[in-house]
Amino acid sequence: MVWNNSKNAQLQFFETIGVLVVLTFFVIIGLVFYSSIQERLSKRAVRQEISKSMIEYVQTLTTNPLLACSFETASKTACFDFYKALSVNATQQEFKHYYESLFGNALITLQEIYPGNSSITIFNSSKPGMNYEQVLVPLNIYNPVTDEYKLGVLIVRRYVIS
Amino acid sequence: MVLKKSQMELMGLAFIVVLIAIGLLFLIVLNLGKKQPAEKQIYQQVKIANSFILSFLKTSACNTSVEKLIYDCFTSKSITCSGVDSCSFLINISKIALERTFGVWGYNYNLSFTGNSYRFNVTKGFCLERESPGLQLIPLYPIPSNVIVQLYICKGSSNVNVTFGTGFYAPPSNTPGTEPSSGQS
Repeated sequence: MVWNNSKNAQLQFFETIGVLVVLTFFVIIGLVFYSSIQERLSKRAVRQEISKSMIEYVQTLTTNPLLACSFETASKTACFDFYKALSVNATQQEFKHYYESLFGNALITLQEIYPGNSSITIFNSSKPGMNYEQVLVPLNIYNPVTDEYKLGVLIVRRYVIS
Repeated sequence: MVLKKSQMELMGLAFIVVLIAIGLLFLIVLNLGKKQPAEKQIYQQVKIANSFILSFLKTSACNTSVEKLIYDCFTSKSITCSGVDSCSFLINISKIALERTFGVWGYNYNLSFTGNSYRFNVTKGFCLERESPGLQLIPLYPIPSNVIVQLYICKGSSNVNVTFGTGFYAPPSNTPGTEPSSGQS
């Protein structure tokens, strides 16, 4: 009788341990899924923040008087002055700190599409090995000497810490 | 015997509940794994087509602007550029501009000029979803009509063969840069 009671008790004990092991297993699986979900959510939030700041950066850049066309009336399209772009390119080293405070860590290139296909690197403070976000903006390149508009693309590559 | 049967039923129920819970967890994880377009991509898709058309219309060509070339093409056709009329020249420069931008970036596109009973377009590939159209109207004053310049862009493959189509406008047969519409490639 005592022997049977002991056996029953042992069986119940093992049963309890079995239940605990299974429960622990499910809790661990749940924790793994939860942490994976949290990680993806936070990565997505970071990506969205970077994208938002990139949009603001590009909009500020295309209206910067250092580069934008100068007209009496507001222009509907993004327009860069060819000679202003050349000037920023030529004075990159001389005013390096000023441009870096303005443009940050970025590579800004003005690529002519029509009629020619030349390009000007307006600003370059690229950091090799860093991740970057890139935006392409179709715009006009205005030559105030000949009063001509060329079709171009502004390639903005902004380096981010990921 | 009855006790064993009820125990088995309970085990079965528990097993089903566990399966459903695991299935739901997988669903949640898969849904979160789907890439939703970042705001930057939405901004790009919405703005880029409009930006392109606005900039393209202002571009200087043939000692005038593209907008004036379009006006001439749909009205008097009096402007001649490099030996061709304004419409053919317009198709040529549209091809060049689109291929050097959206073509290089891996997009399919459909740029159309519609107005005054004429229509012609420059296309590459086939857009299944008409997303993010750029749109501009050019008045043909004093003719009471407008030219609608529309640009559809969508992600494509860089291996797609370039096709260019013309609609109602039928250029002369020796005009370079125009090919009969060949539809989807």
